[in-house]
Amino acid sequence: MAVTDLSGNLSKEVDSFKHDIISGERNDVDVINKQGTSIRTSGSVGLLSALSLLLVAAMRRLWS
Amino acid sequence: MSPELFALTPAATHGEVWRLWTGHLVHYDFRHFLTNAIAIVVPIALTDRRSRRSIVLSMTFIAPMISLALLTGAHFDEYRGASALALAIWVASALTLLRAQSASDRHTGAALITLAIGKLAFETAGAGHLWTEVAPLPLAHVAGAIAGVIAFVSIQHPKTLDQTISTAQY
Repeated sequence: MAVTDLSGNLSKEVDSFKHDIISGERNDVDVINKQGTSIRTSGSVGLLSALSLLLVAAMRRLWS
Repeated sequence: MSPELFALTPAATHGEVWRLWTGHLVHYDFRHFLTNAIAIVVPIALTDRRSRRSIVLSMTFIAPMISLALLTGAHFDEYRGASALALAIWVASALTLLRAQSASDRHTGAALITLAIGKLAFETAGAGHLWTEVAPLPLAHVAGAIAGVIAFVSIQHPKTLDQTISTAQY
């Protein structure tokens, strides 16, 4: 009985922890799954790429 | 409404089909959203009005294609972000500009395609974390770039498509 309660609570806590990571509440921690991928995967272009694109747009304005 | 309901997860292939589209629309935070939004708006704004419309419309079928490719080729609990779509729009816009009449358009297209190739090369070499603050999925951007080529090819023959539609009506 106690062991069943313990595993149920543990599973609930793990789910809650994963939720905190995915929602960004724990940016300092990451969880990697068996395949080596973060559970919080994303499509993110990133600041550097965004700035490079803005630079291309600015240069285009200067050319034309 | 919780963003978890809209993120791309394996549940998309088990009845929650909307996730194939909405996974590209939800983000982890404002900075994540903003950088992806810039990567969508800037390349598309550089193209002419007609191409812009065609590229944006093509994203309605490109988005689920990318999602299915990610679900097949990667293992993740949850995926959010528009960067794969951004790469598709980025590449489709660059190829459109490369075919334009004016030299300035062609130069812009060349700059965009060079940037995209450089980004993909860095990410494939494992340096993707230098470009972003959220754990990136390199396959997403490769799939996005391939989808961009497909979108570009699909919008090249609008007359043929119009003829097909009008023929189908009769």
